[in-house]
Amino acid sequence: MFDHNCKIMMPLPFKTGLTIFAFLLGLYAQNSLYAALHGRVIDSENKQPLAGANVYILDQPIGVSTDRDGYFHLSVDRQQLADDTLVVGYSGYVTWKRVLRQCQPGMIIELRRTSYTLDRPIDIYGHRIDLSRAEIPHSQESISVQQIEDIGSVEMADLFKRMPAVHIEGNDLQGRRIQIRGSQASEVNVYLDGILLNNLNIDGAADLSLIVPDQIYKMDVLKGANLPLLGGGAFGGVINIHSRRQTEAGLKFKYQEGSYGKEAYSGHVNIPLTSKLILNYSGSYHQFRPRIEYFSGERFDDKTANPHIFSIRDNHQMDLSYYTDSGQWRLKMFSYRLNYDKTDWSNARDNYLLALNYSNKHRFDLTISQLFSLDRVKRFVVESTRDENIYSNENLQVRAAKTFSKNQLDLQLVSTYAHEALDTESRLKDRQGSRTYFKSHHYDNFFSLSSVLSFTDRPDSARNLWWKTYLGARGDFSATGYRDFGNSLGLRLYWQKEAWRLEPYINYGRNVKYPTLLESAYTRDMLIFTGIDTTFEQLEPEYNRSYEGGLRVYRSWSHAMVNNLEMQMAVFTNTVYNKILKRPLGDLIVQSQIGKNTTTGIESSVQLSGLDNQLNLSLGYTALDIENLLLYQYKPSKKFNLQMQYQTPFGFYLNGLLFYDGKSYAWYFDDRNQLATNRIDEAWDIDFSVGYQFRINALDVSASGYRLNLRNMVINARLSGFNLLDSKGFQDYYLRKRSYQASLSIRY
Amino acid sequence: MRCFMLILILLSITACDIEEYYGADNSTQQLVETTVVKGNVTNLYTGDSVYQATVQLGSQEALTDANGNYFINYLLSEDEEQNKPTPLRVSADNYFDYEQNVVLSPTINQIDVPLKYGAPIIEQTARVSVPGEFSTYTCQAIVLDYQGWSNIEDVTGHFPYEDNNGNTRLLTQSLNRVNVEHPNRAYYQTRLEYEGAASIYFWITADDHDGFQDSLFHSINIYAPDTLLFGTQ
Repeated sequence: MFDHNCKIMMPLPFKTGLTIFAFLLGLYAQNSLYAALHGRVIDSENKQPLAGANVYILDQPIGVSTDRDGYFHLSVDRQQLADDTLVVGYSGYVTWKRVLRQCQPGMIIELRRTSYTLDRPIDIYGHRIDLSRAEIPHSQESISVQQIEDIGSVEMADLFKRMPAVHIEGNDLQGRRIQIRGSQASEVNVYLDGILLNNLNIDGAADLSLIVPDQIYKMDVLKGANLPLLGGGAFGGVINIHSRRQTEAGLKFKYQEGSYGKEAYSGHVNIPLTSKLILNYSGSYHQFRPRIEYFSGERFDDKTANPHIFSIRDNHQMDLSYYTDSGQWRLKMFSYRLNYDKTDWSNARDNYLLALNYSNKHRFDLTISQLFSLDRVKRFVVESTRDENIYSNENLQVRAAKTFSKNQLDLQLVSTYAHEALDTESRLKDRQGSRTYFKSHHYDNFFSLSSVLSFTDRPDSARNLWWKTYLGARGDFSATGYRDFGNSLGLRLYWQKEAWRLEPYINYGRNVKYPTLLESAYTRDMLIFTGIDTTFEQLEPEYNRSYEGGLRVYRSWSHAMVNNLEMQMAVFTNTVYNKILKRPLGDLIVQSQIGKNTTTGIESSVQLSGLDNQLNLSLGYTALDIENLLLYQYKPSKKFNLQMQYQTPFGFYLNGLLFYDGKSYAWYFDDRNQLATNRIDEAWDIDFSVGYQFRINALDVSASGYRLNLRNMVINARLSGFNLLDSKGFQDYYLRKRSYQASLSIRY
Repeated sequence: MRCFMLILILLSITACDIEEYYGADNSTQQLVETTVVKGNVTNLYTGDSVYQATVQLGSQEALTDANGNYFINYLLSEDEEQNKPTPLRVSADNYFDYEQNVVLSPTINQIDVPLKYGAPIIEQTARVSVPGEFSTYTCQAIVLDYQGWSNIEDVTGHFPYEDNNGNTRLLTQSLNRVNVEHPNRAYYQTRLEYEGAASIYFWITADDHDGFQDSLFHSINIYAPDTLLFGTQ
């Protein structure tokens, strides 16, 4: 790796030649993003090595133990994790913490015994609260920034294809929605830096198009119905996204072009204004011509063609972070706009988010966020008459989280207050002017308090075995009068021997989901049938009860190609009560709340990776058994995927993904209000991409009059094909259509 | 300073509706997106209203009243709110079916349907005895078809009579087209020879190529016998 700068001071003709030479030299430099951090842990008193000390990144799933001689070797992305904290812990010693930015490779860490009460130097360290780490044990997957770079898509949907039990539905207009373990999209909570995004949509399902993959630093997918901290109302699971926060100056630009008139630009900039104040901006623009209508009733062979549809999405995110000695402040501004136009019909969606986050070294985190979304649909039925439907949604969230740790006990407390308001207005505009024919205003307030108490214990006899018991409790309150208490239990066992690590776990819990504002508003106007009563005033909350058992296995080898094996398996059962079923009856919609469904399933995955992620193989399988298809429609009963990623040391890389979606069924009410069944056939498909990525590690060129400093510049060119077999065509959703895409990105 | 801030906070709290931040309101007048579809069904050629025409809009159905008016409360589906057209089908006896896809407005829709009258119309018929010949008559009919006279397939007369044994029998005989006056109107005539005593009544049926039929019952007033509708004997 080049660490020094090449300074060139020569006559001009030589200069150009050398510049090209130096440029080419740079191409052969390593393309590894992961820098190894190595060091040694010793006792501060007798300078003896400490074997088995835990070296890890705070609140990140990255960590190693020191070897017999106290040495450790941690491969981390130092640029991304620059403001995270490296922690070294050893029982009987004071825990050592330092922000990663200040850590040098080869450093010697001296640990002090706890009996020493010296005046400790104050460490500045970044704290990133990660509630997904504090949750009770569940099946969990993570996507890191590196994997996002590898998949290289503009669509969030493509990131989930390799994950078992995760399925993406939707289209450009409705948005890309996620379902986990056969859940509905509204049953998955999506958080961006601690802000719940579900409330931006009136039906409570988060739209993943809001987020551009390039702005993600890390994404956790937590599967399961009983997550007390993040999963209030989430019967499927939780997506927890952390956006990028680079502390060093950086720039990235990406251009993509593809089938169906797809054109996308995205980029991000990091500007350290001062050493303590850092500005991050990321943005994207995306345009698309789908050529078909997204009528949800036409899921099968009868898609209506329409060449005049044009959609534009753009997305801006700006973060301003301020680091103090005691904590950090972060101001976040976010906007997302969608413009979907066709002849005589258009939909404009504007979403804005403003959030302030404060976290400090006492592991306290406060987020105040204000979300606003405006959804306008304009229709022309007769040319002179315009009909306008406006939904405006306002959401205020305040979330405070605090972690307490004492000995083996950890307590995570989260309290949330949410205010939701929804305004709907329908207007008619013609020659006589504009008049409102319908207007409504709804609001509701929610409060929840959740906690997870975890306790670590180990037997005296076996040093390589320990377990963690989790007790979760959650109280939910709403201003409409709902009061609910949910509890959950979990146990995870850790067993480690040589290169093996086994982590079996079990959990059980209850969860509750309150009706959305629109659902509650509908009850006033419509017939409701419940099991006992024929009509009543208020909807019941939806309840869930779930069990899960799983196992994680890790195995590592010293081989470069086969370095790490990770296996995961989970068996789960998930029962939902009081699901709302809507059916049209003449000119009425009848809502019945008699829905009960049990989904039982199994998911498993195997992941094999080489050193430096040169070769990466993963295999996933899911099988679901859904009892009530009237409530949970079009969930593939089986899913299988095989992914292969190969990177040569020269920067050439290859990614392939083979996936299979089994049959999915639905019962639904057809045009004549008759109960009908439909089936989406099983399908195989392939995604494939090839690319070349090269890095110029250090190059400093001074030519007459200007100075160009190229450091860590990465150029990435890629060609990808999605859904190559085109097996579903227009039959299913548009996500299944064959498309090609070429992209070029420059990172500096 | 602190006092000033407190006043400012208090003022800002009272300025906005504080109830909204701890209460709940879900009351609405009407959220169901039903739209009213109404209109008038008329005969395209005459402008007359059509009684008891079946109007079928999506899954909803209605019949027209005596003035040809219909009224439907229609529930728009999610796709129809995105301008997906709804099939409208209007049908009535003797009329061609009317089918159209309409984009429905969420408020009021006035959809007037002109129906094409498909069946032939027997305007007039007459039976005149041929002078000097016993039990021999000339039967004439004027038939109108809005789809053109060439669309008329067959005009048949049904003539009851009493044979020599006193039994009532039926003579069925096609009428031949003799003249065309108008693109839509044709004149038909035939010569009848009864083998018995002719009844004072008969009826004519007309069939066209579209499968429609019309019939006209006619009885002869013996005090004012029919005269020829056209031509001479």
